Amino acid sequence: MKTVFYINALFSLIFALGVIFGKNPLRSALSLLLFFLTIALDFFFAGSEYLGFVQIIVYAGGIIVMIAFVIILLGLKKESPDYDITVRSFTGIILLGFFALGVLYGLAKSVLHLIPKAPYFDTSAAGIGDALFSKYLLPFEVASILLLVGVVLAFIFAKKEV
Amino acid sequence: MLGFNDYLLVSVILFFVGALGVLFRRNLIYILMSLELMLNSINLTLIGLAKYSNDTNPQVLILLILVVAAVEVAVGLGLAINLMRVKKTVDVDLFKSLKG
Repeated sequence: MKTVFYINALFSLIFALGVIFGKNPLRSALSLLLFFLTIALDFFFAGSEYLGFVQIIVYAGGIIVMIAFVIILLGLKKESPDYDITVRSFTGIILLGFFALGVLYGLAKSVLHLIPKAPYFDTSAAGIGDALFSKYLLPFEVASILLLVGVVLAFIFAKKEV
Repeated sequence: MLGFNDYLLVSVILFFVGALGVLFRRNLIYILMSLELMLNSINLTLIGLAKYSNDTNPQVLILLILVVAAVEVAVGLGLAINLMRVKKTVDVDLFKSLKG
């Protein structure tokens, strides 16, 4: 199980590097699609089929199609490498390195085995729906309002004159 | 045995790859794709937590993150289309109108 997980993680890392170092935007979008599929595979491994399918439908079916359409619409061509190595981003990298060291240190000293375990693992769509409509009703409604605002905002931004 | 630490390690690495993309690329589309990488690495952490603590709550959080990611990419791409129309470029270093 561990071997399979790490092989899958290696593939996600390769596809993620393919996204950020790619020169052709469309090819990067396809690499991102494969990255999403490896994450969905991780969901399946963790026993949460519902979220895996939602991941495939929303990300692969929705977001990637949107990104690919915009790339084609804008006519973004293969471009010369545009890596921007300034003092600002160099500082950012150093801070990120410290953050990574901190996280790895926390990982080594982890007390996560103290997290209490629930008696059983409910990963069914029914279990998630139960939680979503009882305990998490307010976040659910806020998310729906967020979606509405997002739709209106995207429409206004993409209109001819702002 | 696959533990929570394995999930955390992999998602930290993926998060850094995404953050590198946000810091180093200048194309707005690439920055949006790198943001998606970062949000997905968070999802990976949460599914590890859900599996490790036998809990439903992180899965609900994953669904909410999914909504936020979809809205973010829709608004960002609308912005990119408009910037391409007005400024003829999606290079974020050339957008200096708000610089004081």
